[in-house]
Amino acid sequence: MSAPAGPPQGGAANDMERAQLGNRHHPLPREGEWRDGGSVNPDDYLHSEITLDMSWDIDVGGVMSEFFRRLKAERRLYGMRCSRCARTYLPPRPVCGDCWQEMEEWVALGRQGTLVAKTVCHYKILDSATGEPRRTPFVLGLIQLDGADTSLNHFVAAPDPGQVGIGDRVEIVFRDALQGNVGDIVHFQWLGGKAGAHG
Amino acid sequence: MARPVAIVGTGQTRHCKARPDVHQGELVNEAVTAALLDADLGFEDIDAIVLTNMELFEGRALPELWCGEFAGGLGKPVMKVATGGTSGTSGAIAGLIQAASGLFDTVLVVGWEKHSEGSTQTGMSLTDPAWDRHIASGAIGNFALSISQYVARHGVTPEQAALVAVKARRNAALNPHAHVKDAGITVEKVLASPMLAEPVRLLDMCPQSDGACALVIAGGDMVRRYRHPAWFRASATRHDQPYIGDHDQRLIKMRTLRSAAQEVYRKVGVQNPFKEIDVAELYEPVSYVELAWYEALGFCAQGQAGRLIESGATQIGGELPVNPSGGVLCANPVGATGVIRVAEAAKQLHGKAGAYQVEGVRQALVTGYGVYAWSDVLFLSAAQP
Repeated sequence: MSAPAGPPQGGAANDMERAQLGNRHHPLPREGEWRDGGSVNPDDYLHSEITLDMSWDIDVGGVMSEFFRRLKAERRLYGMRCSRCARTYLPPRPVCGDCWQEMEEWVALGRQGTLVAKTVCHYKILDSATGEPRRTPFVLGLIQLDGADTSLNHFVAAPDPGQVGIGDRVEIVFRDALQGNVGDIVHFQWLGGKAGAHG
Repeated sequence: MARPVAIVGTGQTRHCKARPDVHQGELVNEAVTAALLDADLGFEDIDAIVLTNMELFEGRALPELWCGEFAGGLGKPVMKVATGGTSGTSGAIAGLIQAASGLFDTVLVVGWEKHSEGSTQTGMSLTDPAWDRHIASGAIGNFALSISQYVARHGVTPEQAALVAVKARRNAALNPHAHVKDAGITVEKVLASPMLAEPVRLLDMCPQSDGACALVIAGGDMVRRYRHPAWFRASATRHDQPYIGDHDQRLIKMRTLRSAAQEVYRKVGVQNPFKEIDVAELYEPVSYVELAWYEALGFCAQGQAGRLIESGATQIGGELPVNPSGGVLCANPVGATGVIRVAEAAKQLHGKAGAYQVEGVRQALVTGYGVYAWSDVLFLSAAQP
């Protein structure tokens, strides 16, 4: 170790130390001399704009392949149940992380479920199905489908977003021509408040 | 732990919306130079380097290749840690453990992000393409879903959450490195800010920042040079299942943070965290979340966090100041954010926090939070273990 025997804990450096530690192109800023976006002219610096048009081809795996085959064939979602803790997972996966137990049992899930969380969103996003901006406000929910122990996050269609509440019932809406991918779930239709639940 | 190690120097850029005057390496170099200056060490004194950065946000692969040189990494072991929001705390833990193992006497940890260069929301949407990606709501909508459950269960009010945002921005006004600061902010101003995803408003959320932060860790003979080292006492890390719906009421239960905190308290011998911890730097990307963390960390009973923030106990000068630096709500260069939490806790122990110095700090708690629910917890103290 060849550390300079300076004062313990550093402390305010003098100008000579600053000059040694910084350099001509990149002097060390003193407090009050920060070179940030507020005090520099962005036009003084060059930018390099990059637009990437890249593609990936990702394997969804054996369990999800089977899940989407069943979705396309039966217009129904399936979960997987852990034989040890009895949790039914949606999306299904080959191993229960809590138990480290291989799962084999497919469980048909209901078309209806219960909202366990909801939020009304006012920010702009693109609709992945159309590529167009989604109309605001829109409702996002965590839906626990009948028969599942986990929930999924998805859009909830309701005439008045303000009416939607935790505990309300919703029903899954699939697109007409199923393709066997997650885009087959269009949204969840709100079925009314707790009092008017369709069961 | 094989041997005691401490944080002996910290350095930060001023975090802000955009730094068009520097590239990533220059930004890294600024924080590293400041940390070396603070520790009174030179480039040649550092044995190993840990980098933390989420390169997808900037669309740039292999940041260790481009930035290792500017961190002083040539001819040294350099590694990168990237675990979402926890990147910085995970990197700090990695560096501390490397030094504690006795493998290296000095380790430098530097985290950074330049959100102004890229598309963070897109980066966060690029999760599981088979299931998750089509709901491209990003962080805000998913946070709001968890928060809606927390609010429904515990009756937390928008005013109580706004008190967190007010505390943060006022504290940040004392911190020369903070990005978002507002000494004159009020609860009314927070409640009048645009609604993003109910109940989360614009001023309840963290910003996206450009910034870097570095730590110098020392063990063995090196650490004896320092009068007020911030000793590393314990850390714990917890991973969890990936999807937001995998655990009901995730924010209320927060099993990762709860379990990690309990492990750390047990290792250090903390019985009553609220009384025994002198300052906490928590990873709170949303105001409401800081309240949930109070409960998960045992600062108060379940459902009492709203009352705790109202009591003023977590302000500077209170019984347990939380985020005197202004926290994540006031500066969020993601790869650096966890490093900043550790640095701010260390600064409190070094007695170098300036205008937001908490008096008589002996024990400091740090948390990191990443992806849907990963947690890191670190405990630093003035007393050598």
